[in-house]
Amino acid sequence: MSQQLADVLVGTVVLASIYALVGIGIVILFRSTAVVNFAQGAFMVAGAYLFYWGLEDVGLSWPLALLLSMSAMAVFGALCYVTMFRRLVGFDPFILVIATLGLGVVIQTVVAVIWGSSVRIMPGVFSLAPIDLPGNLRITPSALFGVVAAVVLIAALDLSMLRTRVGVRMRAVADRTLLASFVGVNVHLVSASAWAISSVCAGVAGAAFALQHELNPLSINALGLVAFPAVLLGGMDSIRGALVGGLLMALIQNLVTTYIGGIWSDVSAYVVLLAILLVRPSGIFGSPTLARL
Amino acid sequence: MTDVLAIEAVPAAEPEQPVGRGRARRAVLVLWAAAAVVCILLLTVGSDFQLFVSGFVLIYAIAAIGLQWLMGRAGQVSIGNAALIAIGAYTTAIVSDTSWGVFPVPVIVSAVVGGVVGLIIGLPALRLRGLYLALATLGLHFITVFAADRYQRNTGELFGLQVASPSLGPLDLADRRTFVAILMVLLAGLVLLLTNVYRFMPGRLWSSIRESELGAGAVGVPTVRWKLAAFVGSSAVIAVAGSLYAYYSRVVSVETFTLHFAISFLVMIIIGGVGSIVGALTGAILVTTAPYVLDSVANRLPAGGGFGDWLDSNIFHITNGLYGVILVFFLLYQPEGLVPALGRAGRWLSDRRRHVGAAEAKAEARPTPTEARETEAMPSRDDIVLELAGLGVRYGGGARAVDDIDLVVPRDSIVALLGRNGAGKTSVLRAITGFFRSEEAAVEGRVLLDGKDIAGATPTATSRRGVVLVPERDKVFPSLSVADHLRLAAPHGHVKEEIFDIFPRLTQRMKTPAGLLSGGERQMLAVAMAWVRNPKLLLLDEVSLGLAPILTRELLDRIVEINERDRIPVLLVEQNAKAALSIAHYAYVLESGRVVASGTPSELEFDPALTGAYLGTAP
Repeated sequence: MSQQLADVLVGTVVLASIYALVGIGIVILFRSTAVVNFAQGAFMVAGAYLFYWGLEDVGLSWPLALLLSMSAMAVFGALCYVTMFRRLVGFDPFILVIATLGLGVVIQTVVAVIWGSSVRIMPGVFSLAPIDLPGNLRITPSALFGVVAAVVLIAALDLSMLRTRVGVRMRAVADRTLLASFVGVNVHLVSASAWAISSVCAGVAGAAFALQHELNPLSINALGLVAFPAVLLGGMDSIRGALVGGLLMALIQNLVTTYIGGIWSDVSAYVVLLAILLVRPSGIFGSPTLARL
Repeated sequence: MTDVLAIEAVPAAEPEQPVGRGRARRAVLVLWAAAAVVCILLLTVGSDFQLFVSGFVLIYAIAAIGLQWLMGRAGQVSIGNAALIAIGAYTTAIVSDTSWGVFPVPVIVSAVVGGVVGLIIGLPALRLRGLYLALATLGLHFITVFAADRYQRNTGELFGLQVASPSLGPLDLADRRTFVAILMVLLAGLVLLLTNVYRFMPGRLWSSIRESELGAGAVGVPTVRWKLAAFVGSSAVIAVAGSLYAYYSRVVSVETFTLHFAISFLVMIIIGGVGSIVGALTGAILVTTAPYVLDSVANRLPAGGGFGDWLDSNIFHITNGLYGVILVFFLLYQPEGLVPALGRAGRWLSDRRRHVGAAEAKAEARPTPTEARETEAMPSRDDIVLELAGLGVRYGGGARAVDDIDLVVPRDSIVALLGRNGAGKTSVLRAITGFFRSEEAAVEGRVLLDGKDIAGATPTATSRRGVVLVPERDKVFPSLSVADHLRLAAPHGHVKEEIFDIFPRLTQRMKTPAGLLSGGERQMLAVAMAWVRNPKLLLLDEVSLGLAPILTRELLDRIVEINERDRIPVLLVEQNAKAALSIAHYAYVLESGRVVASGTPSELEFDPALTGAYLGTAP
């Protein structure tokens, strides 16, 4: 395998794992609360800064800093539901979209006030030397961290959604919210959990991305928005779709970056977005009724 | 759900009183006069800074009105407005650089280009709705910004495109006062034009599309043409605002057109009130001036103080994020916006002055419902599971679904509630389970469960008290398996073994997703799921609907079985009176939201209320 192709493949997997994390958060939230969170990028920024704060200012080791960031994001996500979106249940989808846009602006402002808006370098948690794998494949330890974090988190979510009562409750609320409340499911509790899980996913993705590149609120936020074309490619209401869509989008962007130029990477995602919307709005795995929302 | 839908079909708006219309016309005149006075003051004695800010207010107001056209009138979501402003601005910068590009030609070209782009975004919007349309416009935003960035780089204009100062005949438009005056005239003209367009047929067509696109299409509104018209028109207006922006700021640079910039226009029309032009204008004034106001507040605070210092050093971020805070605040606490709320407050004040006495007298005249009923022979209180006393249900704007209903479900019994489609049966059941706040339903009277009033509780709270409703539609979770359903509903997740004796059909289907079950199986599963919860009171909504007679019989036998075995009281809502009466101990007949007859099945069999008004018309 040529070095260039090998790097494209590894880059695809690394970026795909970030998209998969963010995308699963988007899908879980959308399915159980009908909210499409345009603030996902801001949530990523918040998670990344919390991770940075734990590492740099509190002086924790990286597993503890990650745990701190995850728990803080879980609480924050649940609070977003309790203080904001609980009051907006049943509103027009476009009101919800605008609400999340506003929430995103608020989060970014708070982050900028606390930490400033300058770009920071994450503390060197992992060594910079790439790990060599067979077949010209090589991956930096921080990129590997992102992939492993995504796999672990997604596997844990998958198992708990299928096998635990909490998971069944979440799927029930996602299917039929009102019916779930008739059979004794605490809809508010389940929705708050969905917000918490979605925020944790975004936060971990943000932290992983910051480790691989730098702590730049603008680029992380932009990445959070590019996750939408990725999710849409797979289908807004499908977990499997979020994974496959993330992988495809990461492949497209890596190919574009390698063979056309890095500056075309984000815009290619939006071109794909418009193409999907014109051709097949429900995505690869989404249910066809979805686009009528 | 049928009952709810039937109510929604009734127009919510009250017929406008001639008195109200006269008042509204006066209010409009006062507003125009006030706006004219403010404009003249600004042009004559306004400071240069005030003029500078009002120029931006006017330009953004034009864009906000354009966006309000699309979102408020035609009900289409767009976050592509920053892109459209950019398109207008770049078009103007490029065209005004040519020999033929003298003012106002570039403005007109911008309007045409904006309209064409509007048509292009409008085409996918014919298929897409809500958030998909929002995503499409998000794509437009990023692609436009990217193209603009590439253009600046390729032409070497890294700091933005310069726009020459315009002139029109003898008028020197470089003079800010003159240009602002022209902006005022343009805005006034646009407002006049659009209010008149909205007042007549196009306004009504767009409103019908916004309220229900399917419905509008069904009554013959050419939805495609009018949706596209809204996209083209609103995009042209927004592009004109972009063109004026280019002339006003003299430089067009890609940094201006951020997603934040796009969101700030959404904020304008949300805080003003998405439904009106006055709302968009109010929003444009507030959002555009807020950063300047905040800035001057920060400058006046004593330096060195803790808060003043903090505000001063973060003023950039805070003015940037301010509209996020404003937006969230308004969505949560004043979702209809400022202008409608102010209008309502004004009407409320003047109405209060007039009818303060009348309303109070009316409230006292109403008898308390329980008193009237005490005389009837009724089971003693301990034997009653559910008692409805003077129950009323109102939805949203004030449509009344149910009025003054008294009903009793004794312990261990099966009670049927009969009535035609739209009689209010489902509303009675929903009043017992309670509504979520977003359903915008008001419950009056009392709902006594074991003697405790649960009226106004949420479904979550009542289901915890043991009330279980099997709804008419959407009664199972399509993606959950049968086993998941039972596990979900069972207290602590333990499903009683007897389930397999009562519902043998389900045992072979335990792993099947409910979405793949037949209608009869779904019904059976829904009842089984309710039974597993061991309810204190079981509410069944139209269980026989759409089932073959043999399946209906089987289902009714199951209901009798769980009623007798586990002594679960059942309130059964049915259109199929014959089936319901075959198992009920007592029945009520509902007609237009009121109880018109009640009695045991044998008493009711020949009751004219049932045979005439109800069974006679049903097949």
